[in-house]
Amino acid sequence: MKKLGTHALSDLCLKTAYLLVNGGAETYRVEDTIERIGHSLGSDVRCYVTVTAIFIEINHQNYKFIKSRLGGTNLQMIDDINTMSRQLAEKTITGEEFTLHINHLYRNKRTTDFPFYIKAIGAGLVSMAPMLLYSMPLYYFIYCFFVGIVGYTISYYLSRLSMLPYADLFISGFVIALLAITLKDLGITTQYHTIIIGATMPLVPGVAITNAIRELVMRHAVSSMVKFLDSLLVASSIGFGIASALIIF
Amino acid sequence: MDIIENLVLGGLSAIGFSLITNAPRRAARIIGITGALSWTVFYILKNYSHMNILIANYIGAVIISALAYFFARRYRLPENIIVIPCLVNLVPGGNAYRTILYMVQNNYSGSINQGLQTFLIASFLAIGLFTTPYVAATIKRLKMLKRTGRKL
Repeated sequence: MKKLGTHALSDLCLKTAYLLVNGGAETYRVEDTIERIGHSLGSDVRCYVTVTAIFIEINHQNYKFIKSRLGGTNLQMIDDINTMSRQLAEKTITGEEFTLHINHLYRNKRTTDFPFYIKAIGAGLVSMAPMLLYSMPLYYFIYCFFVGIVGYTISYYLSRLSMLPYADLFISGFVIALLAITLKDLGITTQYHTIIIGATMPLVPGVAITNAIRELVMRHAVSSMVKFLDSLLVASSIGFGIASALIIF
Repeated sequence: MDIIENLVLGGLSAIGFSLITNAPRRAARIIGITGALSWTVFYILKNYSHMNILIANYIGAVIISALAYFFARRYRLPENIIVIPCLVNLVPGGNAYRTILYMVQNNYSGSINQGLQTFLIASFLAIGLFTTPYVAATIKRLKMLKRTGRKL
């Protein structure tokens, strides 16, 4: 197998780490994967990841870093890269093929994705589960399904449209509370609390909180704090959206 | 009847969140099974045995992490892909909502009550998630020590 040059290898490692961080992987997993890729390509690679920057050192001489950004979850990306790095370690694909795949992923910044209407239906399904806990009658499930879809749709499109990061969550929290209160005022449902609880479920920052706690326990304090603050801000912006609707109406 | 309803909806909602986060298609079946089982156990413990809600959440999280540990090795998936969609059901959304609601109603002591409970439930979920990997790693380590005959 032809050995990659240090320059090409450091580029490859940076791109892989960038994709993994943007897919929502834990930082210690990213570092581990990069070091294993370097090992199976025959070089000594060290990697240090905070969420906002990635540092790479190859064979104690070539240093590089790349700026990255918080946000985005794409579990398919993590799975793809994980499978490829495992194949690389088992020598079923060569270094050139691996580089080609990573370059392709890096250029497009996306993998196979579900169409939007399927994601919206998924959001509706997530909203229905909390109704079971409060043992509500059947029609609550149906209203919650639709309110959840509306909330998710608003946050999905606004997050692509606007530059201000937390505004989409504030607005969708506001709209969800508004819809729930309207349903109650029209006399369709008897109370709005459970519908709000259910419909905000798809917006909950589950990935960020889970990763933050795991990283904190694995002693990656910097990235864990960044993610923790982010998830706290997400949760409170949804909460303040709901609160302002409750105060106004 | 109640149990079947819970199994179906728990699985569906876990799969729903996996659609939002774009989980790989081959994982959907596994996520459904894990989500359904963990949610149903949590529901039974909470509604029928009147156990402390912290313990119910803890056991739910232990089941998620145990199944994720098993399936991740069997089907060669990252554990995170299974854990994230299943955990969403157990997130204390109701308590978090009530924290905000009481704050709006000027009931600050009630708000702090609910906020603390939210924090406690979240911490117990985290402890539950770490139980299985910790136990598994300890057993593996002990076996290795026994095989090589080294002391701790």
